[in-house]
Amino acid sequence: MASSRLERIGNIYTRVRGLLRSGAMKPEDKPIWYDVYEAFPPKIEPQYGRTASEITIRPIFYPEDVIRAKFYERFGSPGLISLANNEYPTPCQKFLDRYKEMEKDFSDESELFEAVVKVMEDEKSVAESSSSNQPDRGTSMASMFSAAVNKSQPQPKINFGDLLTEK
Amino acid sequence: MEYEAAVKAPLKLKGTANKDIQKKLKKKNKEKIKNEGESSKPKDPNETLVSYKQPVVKTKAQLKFEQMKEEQQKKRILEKASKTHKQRVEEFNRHLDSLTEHFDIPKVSWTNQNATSLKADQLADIQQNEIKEISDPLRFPDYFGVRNLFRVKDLFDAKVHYGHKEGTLDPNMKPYIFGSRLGYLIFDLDKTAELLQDALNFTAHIAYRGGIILFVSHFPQHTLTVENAAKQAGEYAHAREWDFHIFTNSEKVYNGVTRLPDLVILLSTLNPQMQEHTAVKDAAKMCIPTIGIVDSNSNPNLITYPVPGNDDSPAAVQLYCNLFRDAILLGKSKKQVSC
Repeated sequence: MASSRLERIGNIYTRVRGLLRSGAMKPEDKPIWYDVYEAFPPKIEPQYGRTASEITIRPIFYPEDVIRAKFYERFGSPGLISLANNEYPTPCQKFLDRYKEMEKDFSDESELFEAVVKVMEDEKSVAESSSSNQPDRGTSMASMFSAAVNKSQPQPKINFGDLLTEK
Repeated sequence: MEYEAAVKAPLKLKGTANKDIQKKLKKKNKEKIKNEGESSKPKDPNETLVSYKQPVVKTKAQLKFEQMKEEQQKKRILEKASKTHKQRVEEFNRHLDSLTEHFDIPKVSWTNQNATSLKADQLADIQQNEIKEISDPLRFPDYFGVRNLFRVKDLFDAKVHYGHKEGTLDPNMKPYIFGSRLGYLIFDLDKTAELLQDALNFTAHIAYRGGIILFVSHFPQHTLTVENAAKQAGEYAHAREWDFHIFTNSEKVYNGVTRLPDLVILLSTLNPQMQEHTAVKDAAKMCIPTIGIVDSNSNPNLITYPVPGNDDSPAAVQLYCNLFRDAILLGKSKKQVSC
């Protein structure tokens, strides 16, 4: 049975089609995938020396990035952040949410920024003073473990990221 | 032309007040009144006569016709109201039962007992071909329902959209990149989803036709995942170091007649040395279609059905293995049903 090993010329389909047409490959030797390829051809025909398109990769930026940059400049990074855990928002995320809420009241950006900082700090001090009375908000190892066990999806049992972040 | 011969006057309908006739009548009556009036009172010649309108006169025939029409309508309404729909249907069925079967539409039975016009075997052939045509899986865009195996959110949760850094980007992968987030490339998951669906559909069809499918990967951390997936699918895997002549010189390597796979699924198109995996080139040489997960640093040109996506995260590889295994099992299950 004839075959063609020239992988740089055309693609497998064009080569097999050529063999069938010329009679080098008999119709009963037609490969299994031939009909399936004909019925569902790939979106882009595979070809060895296909020239790459002249597309420039665009950078991804969001309007919130400006606020994020200011936040990190002022307060620095909180250390380890667990990207997989979507439940507990990071300090920066909390800041952003509060910023969005208070946006309507202020026109000047720097004023708004300072206002939000003040609000967050007030809240933090309140939370710290009454932390003994509050129920465990889930940042300790034991509560994380039990929460993970109760969920149906597999979760990391020990979340070092949340252990090391401040509340 | 012909329109010059047309009558441009208004229609003269019977029974309606017609101005011409009115005029005539007016004239006549005028004369009458004049004659009468002369005997009674001398009328003022300047006084205008009361313009009376001739009442719409219907002829005797018309009146009779309308009368009959009303009577007939009343009769019909009474007739229709006498029976309910159910009674009518029952009566009709009784009527049909009383007729002979001579005028019925001839039935062509599956057992060919009553077919007289066509020969038995001819009829069977036609039916077979019709069944084949209707049930040929290649005619359906998604015969095995692979579209339902995954959602774009599943791809996102499995971190399929993470690419490598911009510096290692292969230019041929540019169409599949959504953008770069601070230097880290992100895949366009809409395109990935479309191409992944094509790849799964192809896999299912090959499995349906009894093709041999080979899972290939050379990442040591994914060996177990890949081999398990192949085992569960009932197909084959090669997740170890690739011997160079497996495809191209298989009969020497295995010391006997070999059948090469009909489809190669590459969970990663690179080997640990970050060079293109030999299987890509060799499968293309041996006219074997390939499905490959191409990361941002891989070249998709030689792969028949490339699927752009992350090939490094264990979560992503687990997702791909599960999807391909499910597609194969779907294809095989349909095969058992039809045969």
